[in-house]
Amino acid sequence: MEDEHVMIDLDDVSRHIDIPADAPYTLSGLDTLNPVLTIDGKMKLVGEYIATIGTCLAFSDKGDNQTPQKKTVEPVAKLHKILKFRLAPLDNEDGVTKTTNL
Amino acid sequence: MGIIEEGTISGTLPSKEAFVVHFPGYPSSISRAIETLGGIQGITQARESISNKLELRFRPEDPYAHPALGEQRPCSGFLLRISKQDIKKPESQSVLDTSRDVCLEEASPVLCADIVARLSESFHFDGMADYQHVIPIHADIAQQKKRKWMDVDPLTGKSDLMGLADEDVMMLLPQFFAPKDIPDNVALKPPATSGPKKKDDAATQNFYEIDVGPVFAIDFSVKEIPKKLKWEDFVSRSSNHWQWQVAVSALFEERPIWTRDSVVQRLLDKGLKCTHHMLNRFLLRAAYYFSSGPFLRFWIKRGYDPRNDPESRVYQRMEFRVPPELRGYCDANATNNSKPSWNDICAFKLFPFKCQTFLQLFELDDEYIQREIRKPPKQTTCSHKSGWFSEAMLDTLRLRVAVRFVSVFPETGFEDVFKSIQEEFERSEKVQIQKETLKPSLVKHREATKGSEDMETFKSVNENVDANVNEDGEDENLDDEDEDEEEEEELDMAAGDNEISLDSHGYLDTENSSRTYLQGLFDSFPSSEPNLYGDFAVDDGSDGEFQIYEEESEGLYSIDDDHNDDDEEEDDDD
Repeated sequence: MEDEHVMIDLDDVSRHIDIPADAPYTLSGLDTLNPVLTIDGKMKLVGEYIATIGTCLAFSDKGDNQTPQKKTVEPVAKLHKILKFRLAPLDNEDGVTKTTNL
Repeated sequence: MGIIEEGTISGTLPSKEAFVVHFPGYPSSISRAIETLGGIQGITQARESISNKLELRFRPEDPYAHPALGEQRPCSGFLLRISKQDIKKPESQSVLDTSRDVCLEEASPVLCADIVARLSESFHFDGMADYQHVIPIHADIAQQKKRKWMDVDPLTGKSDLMGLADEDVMMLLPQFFAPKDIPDNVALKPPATSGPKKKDDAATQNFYEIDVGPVFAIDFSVKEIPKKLKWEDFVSRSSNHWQWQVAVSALFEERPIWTRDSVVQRLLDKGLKCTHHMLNRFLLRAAYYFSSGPFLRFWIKRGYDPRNDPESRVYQRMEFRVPPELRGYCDANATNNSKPSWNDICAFKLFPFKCQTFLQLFELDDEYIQREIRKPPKQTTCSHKSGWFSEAMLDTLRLRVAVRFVSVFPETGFEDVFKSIQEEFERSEKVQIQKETLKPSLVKHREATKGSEDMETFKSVNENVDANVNEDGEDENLDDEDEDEEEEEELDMAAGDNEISLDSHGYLDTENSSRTYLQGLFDSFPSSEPNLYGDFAVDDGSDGEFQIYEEESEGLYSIDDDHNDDDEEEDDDD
């Protein structure tokens, strides 16, 4: 099993929308250059691939239940791709696209 | 893990938290990267510390490595994991490693994707990279690492590190390239304010240097004298200096050469008082002075050259030295701060307080002197020693000045000195008269007439002296009157300003300078004596006349001795 990680960057849209926890999401268009991320069936975000400057290292916080005060980190991944999302312009465009496909 | 069907996955956003480090480089492995970031402990400590600074050392085994600082910032994102699974054939090799195209028909490789973590924090390295001097061996090692960075095993990396550690032990490297960690903007303040001021100052200096030129203590033999100055260009009419400058410049229109004391007296008469320094400024705009010669330290109008104008002879300098017998009076008044009126000095109404006084012939209130200096000039050039007059003539005038001053000596005991100087003056005058009688016979009658007038003057003077000597009562009265006059002078001068004392200071400077000149003059006096004899021999061949000349030379010697004594005493005073 070979894994590759991509960082989803929502910094540009985090000021406009509030992303709730445990919300359902749909990520479509992964086979295209501009994937679409739909969160909670309402918010549509259009993504674009960009390269990292250097290397992006992902770490996860690792907590021990027996000793909650003791904290450490664990490396998760080393990645070189960032998927930067922005708000989708209009629903009509998507509709037009679908019409064309049909 | 959701299988990507038609490029689409679905799921629920995770609650698991994670953070990312935007590492400014391409580490050979995650473990190497963690080592350069200070290890797991260092990363954990950075996240907990208040400063939230994460240190990155590109060469952690190098003690001189300067860390780059990473700053922690909040971010909003997710971590997406994409993996490839082989459902049917576990042993089949993957041909398309990086391809994301999905072929549902084949169905052999299956791509799965899932959002596995929520990203809330990130470290960014915006500071200066640690560029540092690296010796060729290190550079070669680094390059080899670049080539093999994808295939290097952890063990191999460790061995490389060991090698580096061994080599670094014996090498000293510079600490770091730049002391700054974070670039900052440096805004230079524009020099608009101070620039113009400096330029103005420079322009002012150049302006003064060009226009004013040298005016102090110019050498008597200089070819060109200072030219006239348009002082109106840099003295505004509304300023206080205007009326001062007008008054000073007007004096030099009245006559071209002035003594400093006389200028001060004139300005005081007009109610104008100023400091020594300010007066110098006003004078230098209108005049200049020589450092030697017959106009020594007299202020001369700009553009006027007394060496080319025989009429300037009436403005020549004259000095009076108190005879040794009467010097006690000057010593007694040495501490007297009050200064006699310059007009009274020039009118021979007061005996000077100083042992040496410099005067201008033009200002002396004496009929004989004023008549003599206005006779047609006999010399065609202005000499350094005696100007437009002969040395003998100057000596006669000097004796006349001495006679006038000693005659007003305020104390008793001056009669013998007075008689001696009077007789010497009369002899000197006779010599002058005889020289004049040698001229063409056409003028002889006029000269004889003048001679008789002089004789009458002498008789009247002698009668006055005899009267004073004979009547003791009258002498006592004169002494009392002199004392009263002194008291009045003291009261007047006591009310004067301190500025006058500053002027006297300048006067002392003049006195010191002229002393050296006089010493040089009288030191060279004997060498010129044969010339005098030669001149007289040519003019007159009789032996009797020659004897008279010997007497004159004796007088000159005594004068020289007096000056030497003066110098010695003054040195003792210093």
